[in-house]
Amino acid sequence: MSISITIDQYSKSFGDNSVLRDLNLDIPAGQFVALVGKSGCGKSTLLRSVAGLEEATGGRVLLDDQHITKPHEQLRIMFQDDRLLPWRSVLQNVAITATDHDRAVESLQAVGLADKVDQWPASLSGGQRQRVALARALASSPEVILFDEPLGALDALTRLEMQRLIEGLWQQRGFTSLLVTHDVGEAVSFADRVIVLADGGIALDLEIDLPRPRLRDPAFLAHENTLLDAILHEPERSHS
Amino acid sequence: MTTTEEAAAPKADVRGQETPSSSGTPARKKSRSRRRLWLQAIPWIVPLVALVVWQLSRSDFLPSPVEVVQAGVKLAANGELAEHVWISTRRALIGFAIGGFIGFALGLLNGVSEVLANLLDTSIQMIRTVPHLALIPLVIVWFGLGEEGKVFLVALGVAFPIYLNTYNGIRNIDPRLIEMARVYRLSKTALFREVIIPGAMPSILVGVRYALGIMWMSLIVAETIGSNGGIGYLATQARQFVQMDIVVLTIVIYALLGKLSDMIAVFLERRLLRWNPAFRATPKA
Ligand SMILES: Nc1ncnc2c1ncn2[C@@H]1O[C@H](COP(=O)(O)OP(=O)(O)OP(=O)(O)O)[C@@H](O)[C@H]1O
Ligand SMILES: [Mg+2]
Repeated sequence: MSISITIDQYSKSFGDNSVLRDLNLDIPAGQFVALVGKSGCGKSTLLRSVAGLEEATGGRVLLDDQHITKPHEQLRIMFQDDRLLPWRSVLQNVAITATDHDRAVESLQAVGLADKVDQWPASLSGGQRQRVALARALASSPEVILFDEPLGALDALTRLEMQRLIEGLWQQRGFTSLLVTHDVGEAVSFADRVIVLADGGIALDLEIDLPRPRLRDPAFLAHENTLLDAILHEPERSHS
Repeated sequence: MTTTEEAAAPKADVRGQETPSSSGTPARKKSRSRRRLWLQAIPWIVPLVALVVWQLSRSDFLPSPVEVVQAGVKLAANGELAEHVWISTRRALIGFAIGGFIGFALGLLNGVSEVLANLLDTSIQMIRTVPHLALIPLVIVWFGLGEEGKVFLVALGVAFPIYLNTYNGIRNIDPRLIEMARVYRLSKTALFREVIIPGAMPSILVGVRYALGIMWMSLIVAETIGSNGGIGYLATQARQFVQMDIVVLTIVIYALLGKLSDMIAVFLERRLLRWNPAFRATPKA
């Protein structure tokens, strides 16, 4: 039932700075795709374009068959920062679109924060706030969730916990996912498919067909190495 | 008056008093509550000492505190005092409501629309710097000596700090929250209710606090016009008959009313900014 993402000859520049050039990418409904690449290569820009937050310089983005010009009803983003409203309680934050009180509580239960409904965001830890943000994204049962390094600011343990949580929820609900990450290991452990973005386009499109839950076995490490090579060596190739 | 209106959150002095924890022996508790009492008494030491020194130093130009209190009791007894205070308070409140509404509306419009801000902000800033006293002749010509002129001056004084702080508050809202609201497809009304108004509220309340101060100052100026009741009228009358005790009494009343307004502002801050750790409390408290 979830939604497919089609990126069709998409280009985006900021003034003279051409960030994405004629990019094509098809993400089938329900797939979990990770997006990696060097800092500043345009990962966030691509994500924001899918979210309808950027105006295309050329080409277009489709969710199913709908041309995206503004945020889609069935799409949510989780940003690197939690972006909770500090003046609303945890529950009110989660209920911001899911006006249904019960679903907001359910959503908080799903991320293990049912006992925090009446707290202000300021009284939570960074990891808890990020979980509230996840609960908020999930509350309206979206068909697509975009993650822009949502775990980047968390410590290693909380990060692992959150990864498990997101993976579990994804397996359970089957929303289409696009995850930006700096961490190649995270990409391989999460994704059906990893895209390496470089020089305004796709440098590598790698299928990860390892069974879940994934262990750091030789096959895993081989994928990691392939990805690291692609990320680190791409610039030289583009010069020649 | 013009420099103090700028937004500068006076957070430190509106913080709640320390709440004592429930732990500790009774004796410990007692000493702690005594300490608390002492802390609350500290701000009153200087006024008290001043009062005593004032009472002890006799002068022909300044009535003693006891004389001022006597004058107050006499005026209160025949109902005159309450009437004047009520007339002034009514003017202040009506002026505050009108000026506050206009300032808030302009701040909101300019905060949301860049075009409007471009069109209006400079003009508003220019009018803001005109001193009230300079306007009195105009106000008399426009409104005569009745209530309208006085209310106008108060409204004018109140409008600027509210305008300025509403405008600044809205412009300084975290754009990332606005973007979040876009992704979550909040309606225009929901955007205002959930993000813009609460986001600007700390700044708006700073404006309210300054505006309450300016409200009384404008009223003092305004009540020198005409002769139809109010604390300013009482003071003018007393001055003409050299009743220094009543003159000083009116000054004290202004000070008390000013303090009262400030307490209301602090109460509003604590209530509306509960979410802010600087103002402490839990939701639904
Ligand atoms: N609003 C903007 N205005 C101008 N330039 C921008 C804007 N947003 C992004 N850019 C530019 O686009 C390029 C890509 O930025 P983007 O944020 O997409 O990178 P990224 O891959 O997400 O990097 P990181 O991994 O550090 O988050 C950068 O050169 C950046 O300077
Ligand atoms: Mg980024």
